[in-house]
Amino acid sequence: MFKQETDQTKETVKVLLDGEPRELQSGVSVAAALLADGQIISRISPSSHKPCAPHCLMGVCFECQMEIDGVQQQSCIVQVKEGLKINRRLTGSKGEEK
Amino acid sequence: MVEYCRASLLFSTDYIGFQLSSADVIVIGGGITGAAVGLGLLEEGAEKVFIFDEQLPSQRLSRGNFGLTWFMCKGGNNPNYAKWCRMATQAWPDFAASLEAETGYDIELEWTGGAIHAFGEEQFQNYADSIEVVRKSCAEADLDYPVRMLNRQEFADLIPDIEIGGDVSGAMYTADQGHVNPLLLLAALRSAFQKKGGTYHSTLSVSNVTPNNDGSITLQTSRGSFTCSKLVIAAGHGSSKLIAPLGEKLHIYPQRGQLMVSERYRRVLKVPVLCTRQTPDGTFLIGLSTEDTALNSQVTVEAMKNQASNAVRLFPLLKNINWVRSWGAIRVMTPDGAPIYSRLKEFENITVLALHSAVSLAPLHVKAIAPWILGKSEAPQISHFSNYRFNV
Repeated sequence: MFKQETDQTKETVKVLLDGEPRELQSGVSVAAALLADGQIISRISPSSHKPCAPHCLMGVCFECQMEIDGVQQQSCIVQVKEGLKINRRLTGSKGEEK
Repeated sequence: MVEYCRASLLFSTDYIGFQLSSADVIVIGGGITGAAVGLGLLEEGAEKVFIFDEQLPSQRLSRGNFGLTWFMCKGGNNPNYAKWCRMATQAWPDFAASLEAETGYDIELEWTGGAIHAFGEEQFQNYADSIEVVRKSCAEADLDYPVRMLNRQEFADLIPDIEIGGDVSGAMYTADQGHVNPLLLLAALRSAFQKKGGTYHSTLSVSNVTPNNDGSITLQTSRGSFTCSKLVIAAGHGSSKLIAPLGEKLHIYPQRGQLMVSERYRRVLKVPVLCTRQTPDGTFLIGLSTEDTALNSQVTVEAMKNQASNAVRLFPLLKNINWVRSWGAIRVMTPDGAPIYSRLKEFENITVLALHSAVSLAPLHVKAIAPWILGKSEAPQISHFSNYRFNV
């Protein structure tokens, strides 16, 4: 579904995704790295309780928002770094608890 | 002759074409009020109705609306306005239902009541006193005023899913109003207008209004000239320059309001507060600023800081949520705050509509203002809203 640019690095780094260790491509946004990994669902809508996926990938739509290092932020504008703690909270339907 | 040739040339290349260049009624302005009145005109039997919409950035106040359907606090010094607002609010539930039946648009009306929070005992007492002022005004119009004060605990019980701030002393509250999605309202009104056979022209600018000797009116526009038997001008701040050459001064002034919009959050606030509401899709809106900045619709850090800190003081939760957008829009204000519905004295087939609160008043613009424009019925209040009331 998604193809990688050929000139991009394939280096990966370790992150903690929903509590599980995982290798993600470095040098791209969290949203892009997750999509490349086949992870389409970015969050559960706090209002409709339906799954969301990144939509604009340019910081506008907020559909890719997830908790990254303890802060709710748009994963399309955060770069993948070693040790990021990413929580999408895909289970449970009560939306974000803060 | 040169002018004539140019006009013909325009028509021959324009999709509007000759056959559509005259109408029974033309409405200048396709915002919430223009679209509501256009719809009402068709419902009242006008056959050929056009809406012309210019879509200037400075004229998009219908997109900046907060979306309250509200009568509380309105008309304290003006029984006619108090009654008019109340009539409009009472008409809202049926109005929303019929719009949905007609167009398929669910405009998200929630009839949950509405509140205005108070900080501290002094403000609480001032609000309590103000209820009595409006109640007296309403009594003059043989109207009740179903508004009361809730103490802190009662207010907290009304909105149990969101914590209220420590400074909140209570709220003014009525159960008889609500809120809607104003963008969907605009879409639904335009849809209903077109489904009933109305013609909506976007990006069409009117440069000149000329009453003719035979009683018709000719409009010069960016897409050629048009004639109509009756003209409605609902063009916001664009209205003044259209009627000024006819010797009419429109008594309105611009007032900027700013809004802030949050990310979606689970639904915790179901009753709208004047400065803060949460939409059914989970978005919080805050905004209550009023500034005198002519037609500049920019947003400012200063105003957003003020309204954000006010909202956070009311609902501390809001400081943890991401705020994702903001915008400014220019209200159409009148010196006494009530709307202007006015036939021009010299040209009785030209009607001017100029107002804020276009959402709250929309049902009456369809059901009462449209028949009045056609001369079919005369609601007794309408004469109080003439533009000439300010000529003293």
